[in-house]
Amino acid sequence: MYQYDAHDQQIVEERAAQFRGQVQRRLEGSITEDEFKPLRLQNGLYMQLHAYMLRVAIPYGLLSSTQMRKLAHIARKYDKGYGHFSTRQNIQFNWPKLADVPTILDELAEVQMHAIQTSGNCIRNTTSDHYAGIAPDEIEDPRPYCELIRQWSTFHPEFAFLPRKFKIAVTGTPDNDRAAVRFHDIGIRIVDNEAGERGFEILVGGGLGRTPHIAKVCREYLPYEDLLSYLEAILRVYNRYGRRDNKYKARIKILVSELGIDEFRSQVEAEWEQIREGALKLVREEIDRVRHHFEPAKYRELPERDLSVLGQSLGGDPGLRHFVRNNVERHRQPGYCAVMISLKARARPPGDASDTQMDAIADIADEFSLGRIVVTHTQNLVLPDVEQARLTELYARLAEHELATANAGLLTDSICCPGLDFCNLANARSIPVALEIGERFDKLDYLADVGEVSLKISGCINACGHHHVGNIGLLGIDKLDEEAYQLVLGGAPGNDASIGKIIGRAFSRDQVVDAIETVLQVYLGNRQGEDERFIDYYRRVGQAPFKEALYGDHKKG
Amino acid sequence: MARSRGTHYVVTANTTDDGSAVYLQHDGRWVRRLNQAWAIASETTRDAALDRARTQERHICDPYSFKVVIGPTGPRATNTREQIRGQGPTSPLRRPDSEPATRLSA
Repeated sequence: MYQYDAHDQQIVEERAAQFRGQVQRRLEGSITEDEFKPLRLQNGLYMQLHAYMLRVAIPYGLLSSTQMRKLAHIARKYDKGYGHFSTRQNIQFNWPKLADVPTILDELAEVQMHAIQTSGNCIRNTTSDHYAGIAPDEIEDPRPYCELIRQWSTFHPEFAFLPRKFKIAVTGTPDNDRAAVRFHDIGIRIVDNEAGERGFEILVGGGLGRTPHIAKVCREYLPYEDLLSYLEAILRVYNRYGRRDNKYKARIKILVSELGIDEFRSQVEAEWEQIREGALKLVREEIDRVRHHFEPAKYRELPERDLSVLGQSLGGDPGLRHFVRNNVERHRQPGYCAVMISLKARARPPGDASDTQMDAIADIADEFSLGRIVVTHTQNLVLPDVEQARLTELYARLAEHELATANAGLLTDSICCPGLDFCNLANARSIPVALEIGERFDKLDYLADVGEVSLKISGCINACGHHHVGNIGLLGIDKLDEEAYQLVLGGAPGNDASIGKIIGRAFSRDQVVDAIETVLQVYLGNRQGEDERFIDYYRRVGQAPFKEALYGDHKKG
Repeated sequence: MARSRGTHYVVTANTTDDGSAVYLQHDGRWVRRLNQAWAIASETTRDAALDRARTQERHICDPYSFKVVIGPTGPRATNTREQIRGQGPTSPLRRPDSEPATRLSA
């Protein structure tokens, strides 16, 4: 993985020292909260309902075991013994004291981590495929490009005060998007052109929030050496014309929608012509320098096994068989696999890991996965380099720490924002709903019967829980001071991207889990065989049967 | 003593040191229990209390007011947000020995 050079290290250390002075002045009363707020936000420090919240960047989700141990230590020493992995592949600590934050940043800098640009109207953490570098269907590892974008965007003087926050995602598997690139301000797909030359397709104007948009193609093919200059051109057009008078209309998706993609594209291209041969032109040596940090691990020569057969051959433990079927993915290296550690255990808030679990994961990563861990945007963790022959042993180790929940990709593997239990913006709670769903449907055979379905829960219209792109989505609303939930069906984040539609009037807190059970009953009772996934059934039949089952007849919705 | 009928307000903020929710008392001190807060019966008094709170911003952040009802043990929030903010998260925290920050005594 990428190792800081002296400049990187100096930047994060100096930033932590600078913030120590700012915190000191705030505590002494020499600067006001209004003056302090933009400073703390630039260091990832929010004020939530009950406490400060510190968001720590995990570039493209990649962690070393050493970094994971540091996160465990911070959770234990400065927080309440846990961290929350977010949909941006970052980690959030919900209870730090202000006076401790500079020391936390010092400790993070010791392991090449920071909280820079995890908040504010700037370019945020660039995300990627959680199977980057190991996926058999990948045409090129996207992480070197993510790292180049990170270096270009960090403290970029032009883009520190954009109209709104800005999110970029990169995928190296153009035929199987696991990074939801169509729902980012800029989505980047590594592709080859007709001549077989490597480059990028650039998508722009995607996003969730109160006005979800699927990104549009800004450029079908961009040569690899022009990546940064083209991104700079897009950001310049956005920075110049993006609305600053209304925060709800300030994201680039609104600008692209109002201008139209053709006009937006022509402005970007005109800007790009001015700068494309300038200092941002990537040279192969620079790409190779960064790529060197992501070279494949030193794998052993091992025989490849058929994972579907392997699962059936692992004896009488049904939990292990489900685990192999649901949580284990193929690897490009014969004899290896990737293992998803679900952070969606029963009665545990989705995405949370305790300090002891984080320490255990670090130890297990060292022992089983070459010391590497990847955070997924679905709020789970991946051990990317596990020998297939050691799966039984690994499963047992994970189970000792409540980390062997075999529900990856199933209903109870929900994405869930912190909701009204923590968030200042939320209208309704998310976590208790996710826990009740986990309780209600925590039967491996039932989950296996329902099969692949995504459930995503947001506590407000800002959509941090990605409810628009859940096959089943829940949106928390405030209905006369009472929590209520709108049910959204039909969303999908990948190559077959679609935005879910609200099915009808909202459900009360007491009704909402029953409503989900009704939706599942409609699907299970009417699908065309077990191979028809929930999303395929929904696309075939539409909303009508669900409305009828939920509301009595579909006119009432 | 505050009258018990009609609209009442409580002035609240988050502390600068740890961000926990606090509530203004009549004497200008801040407490961590909503039921010990000053239930303000008029908008004029509320606005004056908010102005006074804003002068204490070394210790607190972003004061605002919200409506309460007067229950047998003191002011009580009527909306879910302020109820949760006053009581702490309703979902389980990962460390068994931890208590929500706002459940500290005054």
